[in-house]
Amino acid sequence: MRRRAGVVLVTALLLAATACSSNDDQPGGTEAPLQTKKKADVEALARQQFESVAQLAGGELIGWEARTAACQGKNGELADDGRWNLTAFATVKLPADKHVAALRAVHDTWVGQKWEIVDYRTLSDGVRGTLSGRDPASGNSISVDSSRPPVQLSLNLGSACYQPAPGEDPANS
Amino acid sequence: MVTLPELRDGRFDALDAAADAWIVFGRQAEDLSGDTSADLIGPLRASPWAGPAADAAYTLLDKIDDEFEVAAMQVRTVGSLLGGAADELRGLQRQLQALLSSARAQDFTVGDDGSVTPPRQTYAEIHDPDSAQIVQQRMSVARDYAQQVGDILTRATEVDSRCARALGDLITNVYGQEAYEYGDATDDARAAAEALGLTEASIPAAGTDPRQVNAWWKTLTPEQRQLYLTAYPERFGALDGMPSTDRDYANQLALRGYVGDNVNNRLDHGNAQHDRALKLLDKLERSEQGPDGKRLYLLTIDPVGDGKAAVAVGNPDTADYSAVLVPGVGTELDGIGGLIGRASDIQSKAASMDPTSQVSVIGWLGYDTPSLDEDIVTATAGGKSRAGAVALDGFVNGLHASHDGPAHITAIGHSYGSTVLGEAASHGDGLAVADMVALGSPGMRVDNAAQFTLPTDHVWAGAAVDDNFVARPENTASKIPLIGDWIGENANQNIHGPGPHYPGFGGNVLHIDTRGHSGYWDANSISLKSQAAIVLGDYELAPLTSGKAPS
Repeated sequence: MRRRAGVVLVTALLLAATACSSNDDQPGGTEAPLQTKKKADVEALARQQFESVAQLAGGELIGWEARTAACQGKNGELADDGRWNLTAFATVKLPADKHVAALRAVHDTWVGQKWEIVDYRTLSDGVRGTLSGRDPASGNSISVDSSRPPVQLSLNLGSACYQPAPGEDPANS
Repeated sequence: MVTLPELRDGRFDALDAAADAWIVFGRQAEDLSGDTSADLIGPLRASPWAGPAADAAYTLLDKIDDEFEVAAMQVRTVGSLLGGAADELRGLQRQLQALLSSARAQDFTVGDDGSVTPPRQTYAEIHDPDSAQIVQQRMSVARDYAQQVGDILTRATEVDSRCARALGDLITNVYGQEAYEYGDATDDARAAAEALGLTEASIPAAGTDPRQVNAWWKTLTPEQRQLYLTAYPERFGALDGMPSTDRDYANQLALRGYVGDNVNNRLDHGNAQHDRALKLLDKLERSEQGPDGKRLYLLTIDPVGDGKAAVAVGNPDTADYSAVLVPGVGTELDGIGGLIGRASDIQSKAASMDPTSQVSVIGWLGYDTPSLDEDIVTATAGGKSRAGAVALDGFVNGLHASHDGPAHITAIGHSYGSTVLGEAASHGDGLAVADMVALGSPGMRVDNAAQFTLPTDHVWAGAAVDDNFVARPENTASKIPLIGDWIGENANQNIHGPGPHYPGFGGNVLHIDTRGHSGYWDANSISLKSQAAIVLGDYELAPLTSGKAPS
């Protein structure tokens, strides 16, 4: 118990001294206040963006999985205002010979929509590939990777940080 | 007192049948608990139903689930007792029957009261000059037979009494309605286990070679295992080499016992340790309502003080690929949810990157991490990393021992956790992992990657550009204030050795796209994807800034 009390004190001091790094994900710059959003709305946007990837890739979106958690600061500190973000996973079933073209289609669309491309590569076998990008408008980032064997695309998404909507506590659910 | 006719003529096949029936009943209760969780609670949790009515329904359903769980334990204990008693009595019956046959063959008569009468003397014997000696010898043999019969009946009586007492202890009116009933089930199982000779002293000691533990466990019958687990959950939950499902059963029971004891002793209100135990139990139970791949297994638990726990996302014994995620400074049981979340994200990403394989990722808070306030000074001496390394080495060896066939295991260390990895991989026979990943490392207590027992191209490290907790001697300007200065200064002075995220260390340097000391698992980061790729041995998906991935 004695140690825990110490950690709380340190965390409080760190919070006072450092900004939440997740603010960097917010549209509008690092100093912009966090938006308040309902969990359902953030989930809906994530699912919509995944559906869009699936459509561009020409496959069916399956295996949706999402969780919410508290946003951590740069040094692991937690704010006490309930700020949260969403992590989502899904897959798109796709034959091996479609992967490179599918990733190119998604890449080109994202570029057209002013996404920031973080990683875009075709692997040495010429069949598999990987693509990661960030949508500055929503603050969402998505990664699309060929599976091994190349029978599907692996999708994961990270949202920006948000303040909880009234009556919700996604940081601790 | 068991009588000779009772033991001689006893129909123990009927007792076997009763034991089997109780065991089947116990398994049915277990299945009903599973059904309650999967078919009643799971769909409701997945639905949008919320509010007071939903809360009341969940409370009721949780109690029903608990009732089935406790009933299953108690009923299986009855079955084990009956089966064990039948086995022991049958063994004594065989001894008795052999003795009676021997006596009969020599014309001795054994009465139902256990008395033994020697054969009558023949005419010739009566007139034998040594007649008195013959009589004396036969009387001696008769006494010996009587003694042996008496001993067998005494032992049968003792078995009967022991089992009767243990069965008597099992009487209870309500199952699973109160928190303490899990502890009662353990007490009852302990009495039953001792009645059957399954004593605590016969359990392998902590630190026993996990292969020996696993081999010993396999010699037991399913009912002996069940009884042992229910009777001594703390011992088996901490024993490396035990199958993960059994370890999980034992640790969850131990945690419920802790909760029940708190309630009994009125220590449950305003008790943060009690609250976090309940929270962890809730998390574990909820996972039973989800897909198998996301099922949580509690592989280690110490609910007291800072606390310790190891929680696997997915069953490591059946997984094609497993990983152990070791946290660092300031991680305590209070933060186990965050550690499980990180493990879950690596597991989800890896599983979707290889749909033909099963993946398990374990959040391993199995050592006393340095605290941010008082321990960070002493942590520089390496005592915590050495103790952690011993525990981690045993745990990983245990994963190998309990795995179905050869296991592919990756160790991922964050912050001081990477120091623990380094210590484990550079001492003794090393750490039995295929790959080792160090993230945000203050040093791994070696000078370079060649000092590890695994090939240098299977050593991976990365650090965010603004992570000031890591060993970064060139960076003295951008430390975080206060405690961060302590950590940064210690790391920058290479207290734990040079940073593994430098090319000069000799391992592979990962491209890290996240910020700060705690961002390595940010959703959609290349860092997260790289960890998943390394876990799968799909190295090309992990971009490097230096080094060469294994081909």
